[in-house]
Amino acid sequence: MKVRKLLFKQTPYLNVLSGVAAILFCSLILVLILNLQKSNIETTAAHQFNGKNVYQISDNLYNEQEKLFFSNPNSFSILYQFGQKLRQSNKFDYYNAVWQPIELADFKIDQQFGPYYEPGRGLQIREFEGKSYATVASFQINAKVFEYNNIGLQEGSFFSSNSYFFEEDKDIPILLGAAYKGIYQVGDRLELLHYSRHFNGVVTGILKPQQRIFTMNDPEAVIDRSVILPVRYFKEPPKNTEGIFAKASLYSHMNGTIITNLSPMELRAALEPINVESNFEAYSIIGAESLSILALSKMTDTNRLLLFIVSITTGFMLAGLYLWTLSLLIKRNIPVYMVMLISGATMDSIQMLSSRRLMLTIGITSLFPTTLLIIIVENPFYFLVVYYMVIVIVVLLLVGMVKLMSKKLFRRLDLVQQLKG
Amino acid sequence: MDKTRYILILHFICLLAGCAFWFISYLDQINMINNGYLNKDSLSFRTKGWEGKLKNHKANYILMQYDSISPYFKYVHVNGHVKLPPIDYISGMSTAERTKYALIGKMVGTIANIPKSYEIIGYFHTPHSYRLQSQIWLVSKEAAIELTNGTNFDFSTPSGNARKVLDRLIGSEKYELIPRDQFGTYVLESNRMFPAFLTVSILFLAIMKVLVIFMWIRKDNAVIKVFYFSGSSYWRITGFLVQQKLLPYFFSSSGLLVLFLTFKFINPLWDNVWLYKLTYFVCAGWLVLLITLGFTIIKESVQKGGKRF
Repeated sequence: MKVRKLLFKQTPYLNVLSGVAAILFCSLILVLILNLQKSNIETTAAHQFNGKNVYQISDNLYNEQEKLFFSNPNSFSILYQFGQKLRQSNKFDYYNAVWQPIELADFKIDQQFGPYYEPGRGLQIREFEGKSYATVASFQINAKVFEYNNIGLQEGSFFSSNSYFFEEDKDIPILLGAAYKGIYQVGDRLELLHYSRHFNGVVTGILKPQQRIFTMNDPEAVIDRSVILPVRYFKEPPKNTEGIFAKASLYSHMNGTIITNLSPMELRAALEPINVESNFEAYSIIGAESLSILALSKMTDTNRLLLFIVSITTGFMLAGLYLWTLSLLIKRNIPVYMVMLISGATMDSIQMLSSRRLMLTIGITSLFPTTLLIIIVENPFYFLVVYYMVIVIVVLLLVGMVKLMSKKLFRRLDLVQQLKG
Repeated sequence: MDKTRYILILHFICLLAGCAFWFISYLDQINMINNGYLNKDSLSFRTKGWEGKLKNHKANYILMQYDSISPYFKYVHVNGHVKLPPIDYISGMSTAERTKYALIGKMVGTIANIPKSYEIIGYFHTPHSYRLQSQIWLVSKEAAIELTNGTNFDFSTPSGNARKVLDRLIGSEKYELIPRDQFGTYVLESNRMFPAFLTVSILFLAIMKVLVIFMWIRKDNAVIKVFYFSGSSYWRITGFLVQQKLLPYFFSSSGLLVLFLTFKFINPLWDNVWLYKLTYFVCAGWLVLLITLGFTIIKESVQKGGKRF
């Protein structure tokens, strides 16, 4: 300990600077691990669509055909059956991301939440049963949307599996885009109109900023200024078919997106039994523009490769530089080592001392970035383990190099000449 | 030999810092391309009584004008020195000496609506940017803006604060800003964190630089003492050290800056922020060297006391 104090006093400023450099070096390792992990998650999310075909189901019920179809007393039951069989099929993933504005009561007015804000239209407000409701942008999504898109939550919780089924008078769970933060809080109760039908909702979570989901119209639909509701499938054919709610809901349930490895012909064959069982054939299958989906995946891939190459190159160069300054520090401490040699220390013990000093410095300084990690990362345990594993490997490599360097340095030194002064 | 080694290490540090600064800007440019050639500082606005007249036409900027019904069909007003996205020019075509031309993406369905006064001279060479690939740009270098072509605008400038430049061009009361969403790689968290990694690297390099400068200057403590005790004036000691350390470092690092400047002309990015930051980094090195020199001279001469000869 006395020797370490002596070595510290020999070059105090250099030692402080070297300590700061060690903190930054450890921070670099930490940020690198965090970043590689993040880019891995993002690439995996983008790759979900890789090599898959995306199709849109689109009903053909327009004008006269629609009238004719709904003249059948079983029409609602047919649409229900068709939608149910689509989402229950195990031959493809049935993905529902419906862009459909909803109306919120007593809305704390801000124009930017309107569904047509960007084209220049302000908030539309209307009276309904004595209350004023504002139309806001909203998506209704099913569980597959969470699986395929890397959606992050900053507060609260996602929808439970029960949320995706319609139940009379049951509160609708609501997720809010990040722009709603500060306007509403988790637990707030909201009154809303969905397809002109009144519901009570409760805010269960607020999403992270800059979240986006894939939709057929927009491969990167940003949901920051949107209200997210679960698509609520009927458990049985709707009995109350008055108003537009039941009809519009059934339409939105069946006009979903199919994500699959099947070719168009294979998909038609897979849909054949569904047509027969539900007795519904009035729909078309539209193939999605694969270029934009592919571009997203290629974009994230190239991005990860770029980050990886630059991170590793920078890491190696900085480690080399750090090693060089460590050798300079050893050189500056030569007078102290000389005194130690006179006092009976061996070359081995001096080499051991410089190695232990390095281990101690990095050991102490590596604690500083972990404080940051605990603050910014939600579940830091995994990162802590990986971080310390990398630190141990890096320290062992550095110690080996420092030992080699000091051995070479002392071999080149004319000790007798140095001791004579 | 030793002097050369220290100077080389200091330049290596500056080179690494320069690469880090350049890479931050380069990544921003890639993000900009993937985001439909709009960067994180671009502004989106719609007119609020603006008649399409520009107050000051000297700034460097790209002003994209579009109608909300067809946002992929853009009238692009370019002024000054502005880098365009990568373009595959049709053989024999270029932007030189043209005031009006059209650039289109390879995913564009129809080109029938392109006015005859705009000739297609190339395609966007941005394979990962599906946004640019589905856009039509009708580029004009003329100052006139016809509001009948659309009242929505995206504004980008490489000359500093976009808001200030836009205010100087059309006046803050005549437009309404629209909060803009980011797309493409801008949204990736790993991309947003990467500049943090490079910033920590630059801080590390700054500390390394101070450390190396400190060791380089303090290495010659004995020489300063000898000069001092043999009766040399402070000016002579300073002059000697400036000649031995500061000037060689100053001139060689200026050379390094000239090299980076040449690189900037060969391979320009959207803006020159990286070069400004590198210049500050190099200048800060000169300052640290000067301060360390003064500090060492005082410490090794005046503060040592003793009899001078």
